[in-house]
Amino acid sequence: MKDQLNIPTHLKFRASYLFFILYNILIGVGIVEYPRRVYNYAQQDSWLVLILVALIAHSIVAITIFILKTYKSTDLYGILQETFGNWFAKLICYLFIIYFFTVYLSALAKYTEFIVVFIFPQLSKFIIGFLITILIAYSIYGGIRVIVGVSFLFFLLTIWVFGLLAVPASMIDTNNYFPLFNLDRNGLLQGLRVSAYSFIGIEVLWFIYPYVRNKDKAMFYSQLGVLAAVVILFISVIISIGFYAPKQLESLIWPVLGMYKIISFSIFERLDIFAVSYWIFIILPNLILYAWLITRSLKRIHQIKQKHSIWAIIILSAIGLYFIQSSIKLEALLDVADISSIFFVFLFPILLFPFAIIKRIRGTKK
Amino acid sequence: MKRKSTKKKQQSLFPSTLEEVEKDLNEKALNSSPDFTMKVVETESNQRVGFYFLYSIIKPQVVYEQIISPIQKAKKTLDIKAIDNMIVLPNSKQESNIDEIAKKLLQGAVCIYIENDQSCLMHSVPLQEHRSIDRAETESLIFGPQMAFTGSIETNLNMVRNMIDTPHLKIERFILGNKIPNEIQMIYMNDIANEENVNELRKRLTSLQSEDIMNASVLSQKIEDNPYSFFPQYIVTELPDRFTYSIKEGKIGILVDNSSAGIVAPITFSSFFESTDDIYGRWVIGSFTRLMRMFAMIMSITLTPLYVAALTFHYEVIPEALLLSLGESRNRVPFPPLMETLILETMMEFIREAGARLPTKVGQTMGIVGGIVIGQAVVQAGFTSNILIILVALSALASFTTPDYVMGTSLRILRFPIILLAGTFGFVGIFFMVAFIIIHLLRLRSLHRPYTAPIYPFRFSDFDQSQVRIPFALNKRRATSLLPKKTKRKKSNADQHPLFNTKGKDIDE
Repeated sequence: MKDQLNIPTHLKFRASYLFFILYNILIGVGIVEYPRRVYNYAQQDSWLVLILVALIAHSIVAITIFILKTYKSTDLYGILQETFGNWFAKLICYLFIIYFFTVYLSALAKYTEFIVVFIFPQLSKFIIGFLITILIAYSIYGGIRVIVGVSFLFFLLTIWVFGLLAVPASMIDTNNYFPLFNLDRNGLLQGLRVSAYSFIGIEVLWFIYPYVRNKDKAMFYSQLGVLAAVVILFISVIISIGFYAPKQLESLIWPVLGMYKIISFSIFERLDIFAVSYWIFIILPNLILYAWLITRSLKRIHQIKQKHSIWAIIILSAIGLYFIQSSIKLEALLDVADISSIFFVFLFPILLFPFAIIKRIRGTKK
Repeated sequence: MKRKSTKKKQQSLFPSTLEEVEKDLNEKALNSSPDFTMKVVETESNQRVGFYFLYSIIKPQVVYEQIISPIQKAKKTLDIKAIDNMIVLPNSKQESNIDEIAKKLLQGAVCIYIENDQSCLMHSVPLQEHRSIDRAETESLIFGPQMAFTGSIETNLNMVRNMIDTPHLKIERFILGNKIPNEIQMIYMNDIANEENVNELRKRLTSLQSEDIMNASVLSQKIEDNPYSFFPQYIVTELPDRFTYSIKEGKIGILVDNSSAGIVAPITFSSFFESTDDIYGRWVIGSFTRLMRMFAMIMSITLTPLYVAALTFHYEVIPEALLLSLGESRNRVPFPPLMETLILETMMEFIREAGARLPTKVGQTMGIVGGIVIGQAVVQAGFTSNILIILVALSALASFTTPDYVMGTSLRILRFPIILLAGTFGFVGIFFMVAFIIIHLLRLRSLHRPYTAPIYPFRFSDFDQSQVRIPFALNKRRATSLLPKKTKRKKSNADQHPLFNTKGKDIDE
């Protein structure tokens, strides 16, 4: 127990906020195209695949929290330092930082692409990215209290957007759901791989856990947060499959945004325009959490002030946005993020698991 | 060493003759004030007694009747103690330092000096002319007590004391302002207010380095958490009932001398949309108006930007039927929607500001001229569309529902950057700005307490006293967001309500 983090009490938050943090980091840009991606491989069995992956994700959360609990009140860096020593801990954390930045940049670029495609075809992605980065820096400057507040308030502000999907849900053709259980092994594996990408973000627990005040409830609320995200993903998959004709779903790039197109009110038509702009509220907590993760882990490793490292992120993301203006390059970046997520989200906790068990056993023997 | 030298100086002044004292006081300490007065009285025992005062700030009748005439009639030889004994007024003090004497004289004291004595006696009889207790000008109530704070701290304290007559009301006095000192009183309920809040506010007041505290509004800006924010972080209110209500709920009040307003701290964003009228009226009315004000606030800052964004970039979101009438009303307008809206909004602000600056009688005419004549003419001239007039009027109206004038104005000004962003980035611009405001609100604090409570940090149990107003029978506890010492209100009150004594009884029993 040499490296315990002493977070001042006024910076800690109730465990119930973990629900909003996990929900927000899981639901971001990915959900917009998820139904198509999983449908490409798993067809009508997509939702079964999702449930399978969700079960795995829940157990990953359980393992992560088990490990964190074993080491009392410290974050990933502290844990690695204690088990593997300084050098290795730094290496892994660097990998994590690079990974976080890749995810952050790809999400930012993806959202700017929505706007360019749907609303402003002539506008440079750079400007929208710049606007969003201002918001990110501004909230990072507010500290952990504001970051948790952002994920809480924006959850409340955006949850109804998914409620609007009730309109396309009322137009479902049930024939689209059949045939069921038609999945071969390759389809299942590919479907699992694609679905795994939707669970990028569970790693936030590694760094945010020390800030939780009542840690005994951390498990419950983080599982609940993941469950909420799974429910939203599940709804979007089910409605997409039912709403679109099979061939159509395969060819649509962003099926979820497409569904908003048919919703209209007496003073408001074409809700997809609104939804794309409103998506900024969904994407913002997501990006803020990633930016926080980067600055926080840099602070843990090198004691770099978060005030300074956030500027590095802003400059780097500006450079990054400049280089990935084209969709092809963005897809390449997303692929990198996706593939690395399998290691960082799913494999890493499992690899660390035995060490935690050993530590527990040793602890009880003493 | 230093001490000795000052002592010597003092000794050089007293004892001396009355004329010398006058010279020293008036020429050295008071820079030759024309209203400096000396009155010399010779008693029957042939002692010469001098009275010094500034006649503009003393009560002359009191001075002549209570101070000068008893001494004039005295038959024994007098010393300071005897004089003090003769005068029935409270608050006397012996003083021998000439600067201190001058300071007291400026605050409305009379200096009494027996010739060749060692020190003199100061009696405070200040004359403070203030307007009488009147109706509030900036905040209006329907049911509440129709009175407002006046400029005198004594009168204001008197009102507060009368409304909260319990020994638990604690009052702390500060003299602030390095150059022009002013009296400030911090008022709170000893048994309810959170000690951390009280200590924090006391620390801010005592550590405040300021030349001059003009009034409550200025003081509130000097002790804010974030002075750069466009939202006020304390409520400055004219209404004694709102002030005392907040104190009774565990907040802290500040009264400033020569200021007809009090400061309430700490507060939350939603308390700007509460009025004591919500409490005086029935709970349905109170809850409805509170929710309506919140809705109006959101509408007032987003309505015209949505118009600009929809017409500039996203005309496809407007349904066909509406698009036709919009196009009809806009077909003569030569400007882009952004400019059209800016023109009309600026005009609206002109009318508002003109109405606020002009005397009441002229102001009313101004409103009519601005509202009807200009509005009608603008549409006929083809400067703006009819629909925009409706929207601008609606959002202006909505912004006036905010009970706090400062907050209402801040929100109205906030509309301009949103309109500009809506005109450049459409919906994305609007949501960008809204997100910015939300993050800003999350960052703000009032006395280190979160500004957005009870929404974040989320306390569902506090919603019944901020966002809505529940019936008194159910209102058993104070809002916990302020962390008061006692959250429960007196238990007996709630239980005695007949509604709650029906346990186990059937209807008509």
